Amino acid sequence: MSGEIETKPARPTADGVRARLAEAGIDVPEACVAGTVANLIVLQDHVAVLRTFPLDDHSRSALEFRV
Amino acid sequence: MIDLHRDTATALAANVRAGTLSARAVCESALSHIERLGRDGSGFTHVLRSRALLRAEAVDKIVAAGLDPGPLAGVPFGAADLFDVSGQVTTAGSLIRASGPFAHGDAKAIALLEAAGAVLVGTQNVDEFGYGFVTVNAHYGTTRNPHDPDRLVGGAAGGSAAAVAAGCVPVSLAFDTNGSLRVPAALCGVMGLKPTYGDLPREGCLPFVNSLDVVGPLARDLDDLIVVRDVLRQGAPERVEPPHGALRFGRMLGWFDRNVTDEMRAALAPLWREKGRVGRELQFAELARAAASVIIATEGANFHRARLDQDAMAFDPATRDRLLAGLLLPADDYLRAQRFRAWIAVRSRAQFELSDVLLSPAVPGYAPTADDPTMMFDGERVRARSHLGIYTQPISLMGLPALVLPLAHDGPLPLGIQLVAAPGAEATLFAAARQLVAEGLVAVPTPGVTG
Repeated sequence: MSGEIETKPARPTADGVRARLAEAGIDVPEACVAGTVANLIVLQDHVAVLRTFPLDDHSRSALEFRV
Repeated sequence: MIDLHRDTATALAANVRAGTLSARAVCESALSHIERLGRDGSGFTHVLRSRALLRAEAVDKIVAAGLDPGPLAGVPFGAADLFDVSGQVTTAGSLIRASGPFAHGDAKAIALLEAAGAVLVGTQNVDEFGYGFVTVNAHYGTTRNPHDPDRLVGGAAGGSAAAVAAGCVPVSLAFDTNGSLRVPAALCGVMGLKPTYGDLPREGCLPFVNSLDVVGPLARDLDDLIVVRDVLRQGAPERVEPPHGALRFGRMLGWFDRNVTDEMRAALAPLWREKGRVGRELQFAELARAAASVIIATEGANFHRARLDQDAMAFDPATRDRLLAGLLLPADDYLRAQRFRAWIAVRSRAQFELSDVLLSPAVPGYAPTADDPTMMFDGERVRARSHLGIYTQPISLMGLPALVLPLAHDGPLPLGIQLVAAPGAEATLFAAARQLVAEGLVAVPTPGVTG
């Protein structure tokens, strides 16, 4: 099983978003930070819903992997 | 003066093919109406006057030579500003792409419609890069609802729906990632087809989310929608034929029965009396919406990463901050969403062993006002930009075809329903739509005429 979430993740903060943007090599003005935090919280809620579903180990991705 | 407000594409084309109406006159009428309504009222952000008139004259010459220009002869149409138009910049509602590059050719869908005699008259407003449910664009304005200019049209392809509802063109070409054409169809009172994923050609349409993007038409008339789809499919056989007996309708419950406003419930009552006696629980819809949101955020962010690096402040702030958030999501979450997508796509097909067509509201209620672009969701006031598609998003993730139709009701503003069928069963959707129209449960409202 892919495992349901055990612990509730911490909410994103402005400082945390600044640090993560920097780690990802994204250099954006301070004006972007508050909105990014707000949208990341929305996405975090979606992720929390998604993680309640126990995917089977054999469940494949909708993405196609071809060579 | 030709009455484009009421004429259908099929009626216009019949007259042009018969030589009783000139394509140029139809085109001039459409261009005049667009100019009269202006950018925010018509939904058009870029009018292609010279190209359109040249094309219309070419159609007239074909007719004069005794030849047939095709089933869409002289029909003016618009395309959302994500479709390539030869020699034009596909801005996708952005400033950051406005300085080029120029498209080398027309998007395949545009080329196919014009090969069938149609005439492209311009491109239409979208939420920047197709990300949003409101068509509130910081660069190109807020498209106004033809039924009430104080209200939004929905989005992201709101300009395309407004143009059809306002009578500028009988059909528009749009796209649907997560409800992009279905939400504005519902709020503007027109018909919109979100085809089965992969069924209609996307070449030359700026991608947003490859996992979910489709191309689809909007129209005021069912036959117009069908003929446009036929042209776009180039004669490909139907993957699924409609059932021979009576259609089996199912009413989607659970997620699709939550957050429905009082006005929508009242408008739906006659439909549920006639077609809603069998309830179906399309399970895991909330998970499907969550997965779709994760996929859109991450794929959209990945697609626009270089542009965000280049000049983040050139983006519409509402789009920019959503994309930046998407860049910060772990790969684990994206891959989980794609694994869930594969699982739900298979599981959702089982619903259609019991029902041929599933019905739900397309939107929770009336269009939000432009002054207060919010709505209620699970008891909280939330942004319409991210929530108007709560009933369309799960269907996108499942890859199912859906048709939005305007409900016949006495209220002051349009409300739409969503018909959903098995993959490839668009013909079943059309059969169901024809039945609902014949029974008076569906009717296209005319702006300025209530009830």
